Amino acid sequence: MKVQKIALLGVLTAATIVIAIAESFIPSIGIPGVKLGLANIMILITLYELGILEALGINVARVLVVSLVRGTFLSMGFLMSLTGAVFSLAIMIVFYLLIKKFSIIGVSVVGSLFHVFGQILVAMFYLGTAYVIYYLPVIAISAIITGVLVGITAKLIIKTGVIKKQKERYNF
Amino acid sequence: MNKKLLIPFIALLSLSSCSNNVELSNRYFYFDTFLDVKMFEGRESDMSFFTNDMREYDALCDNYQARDLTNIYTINHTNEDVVLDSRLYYLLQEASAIQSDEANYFNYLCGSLAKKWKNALNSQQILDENEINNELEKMNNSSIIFKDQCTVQRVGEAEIDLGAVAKGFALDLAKGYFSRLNYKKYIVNAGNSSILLGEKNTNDGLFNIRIDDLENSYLKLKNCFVSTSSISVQGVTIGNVTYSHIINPITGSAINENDAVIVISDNGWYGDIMSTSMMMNTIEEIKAIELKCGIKAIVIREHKIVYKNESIEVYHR
Amino acid sequence: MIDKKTLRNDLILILSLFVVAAIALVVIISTRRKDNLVARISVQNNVVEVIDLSKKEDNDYYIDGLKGQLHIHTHDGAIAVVESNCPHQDCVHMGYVNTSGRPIICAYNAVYISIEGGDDFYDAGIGG
Repeated sequence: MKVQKIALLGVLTAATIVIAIAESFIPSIGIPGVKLGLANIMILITLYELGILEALGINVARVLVVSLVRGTFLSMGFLMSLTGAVFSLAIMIVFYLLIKKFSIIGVSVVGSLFHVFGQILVAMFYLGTAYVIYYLPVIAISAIITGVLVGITAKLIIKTGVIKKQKERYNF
Repeated sequence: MNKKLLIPFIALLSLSSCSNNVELSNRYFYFDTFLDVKMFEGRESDMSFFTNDMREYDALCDNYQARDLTNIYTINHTNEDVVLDSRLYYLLQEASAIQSDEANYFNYLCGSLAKKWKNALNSQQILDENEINNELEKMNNSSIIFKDQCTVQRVGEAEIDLGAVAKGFALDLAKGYFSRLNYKKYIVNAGNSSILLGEKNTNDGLFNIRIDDLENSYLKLKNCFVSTSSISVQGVTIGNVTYSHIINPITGSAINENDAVIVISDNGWYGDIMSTSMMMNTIEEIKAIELKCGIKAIVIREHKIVYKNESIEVYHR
Repeated sequence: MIDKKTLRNDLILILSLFVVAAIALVVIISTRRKDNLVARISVQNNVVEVIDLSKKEDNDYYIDGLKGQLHIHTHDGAIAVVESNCPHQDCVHMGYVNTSGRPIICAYNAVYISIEGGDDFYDAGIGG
């Protein structure tokens, strides 16, 4: 892999981690551990501009590093993050590759929803379904809204052409 | 682009070391009930106080069986000198001193009488008059002599029962521990009957404490002790009368004036004793005690508040 | 990357998801009964059984505690410890509990049965 590509991936990973750490300070409503999913901005950009494997790599790196930094490694919160990240990336790949009918905003919304679904699935396992189900609709609605905002932000960043220029300049 | 991202990244990384999302909680089984400890600051290693010191204290206060430390059970089965752990010695002194004054229905020598009542009620029977009088006589003829070097000597056949004060005192010890570490955000719940409140990790720091003896009612409190005595959990109804586990040490009766008493105080052991003793006080007496001792009370009968200190706000959901 | 067609699809997707979530919200709020009780049995801090009491089923549970086994029974939306090897039998004497907030405790066996109404609004209960 070209050095410039590695460097770009590094920057994107760092940005993802920073956003994820920042948003982890925002308290979650109702179910502990359910977060907004703003880091998806970078994941989306990576998916669209650089590829599936790269997006997967950044996603996993983000979950690991954030949990180590915040001291939640291997806790319930960590498992929630991991499951959410995997679910959201999986559905985004499906929508991006197979179902070409939606724009980046649509993909972002499903990604955001599935991120939250993954987190809630783990929460159900630890806290019991009865307790968690009550908060599901509210969290789903906020996930949809966040998804739209994240999608728009990602689209704006891609539109600036910064990454495209790097790709063309260094041919990767 | 790379360099510009580095500085905020490092800044955030260092910020994250002062995380304010900490919530450490543990449940222990002490004093024949549960002890839930929740800290909103500090480290997991800080829980060692509850794993070690509190376990010792639980052993000290046990009056049902001998434990690895000289405890209440030991004292109750001898009339010789017994050397005690300083914590237990201090607690017994306090319990003994308070008996005379405002806690006129508290007597820590009730152990044997309380056990007899419990056995009778468990078989759905009322304790016999003669038995009650026997026990009362035993109590009147017994005392604890406090000697030097944390030594006590039991005179007579009555048994010590610290059930009314052990949890509260445990919470005092916990509060002292947190103070030494400079922690302010915690809640320690002993069996839902004695609770130590620091501050919660929210803006106003208030905890929502549900009042089990009322419907959908709760208190918002912080930085205090909440103690309660209630007939609802351990009460036994025979005929039309409900008998509780709280015995009147003067008459030997298991019938209480009130169904539940909640006390808010600055002292765990004190609040505990008062919430037990006031189960047998009338409302007028309770008002007087409140003024004298700087505590606040709520009195409940038949699931309704019959008296509430005016500075306490009860919320509904 | 974005043209009228995909944008239209997006909007349909987002709106339909929104509607589904909104309906679910309404349904859940309207069926949220005050007595939607859940019993949670833990041994030494580990939840071993979660029981939906609102189903009002008659069931037997045999839970291994720290020093012995507890026989727990649910009946008509209430739960009780029917048999236990503990010396005090406080847990057995509590009888059938169907009010949220009053836990059944067998300290001897480190068993804690909590009865919860579904949310964690309260930090603790005071009573009993």
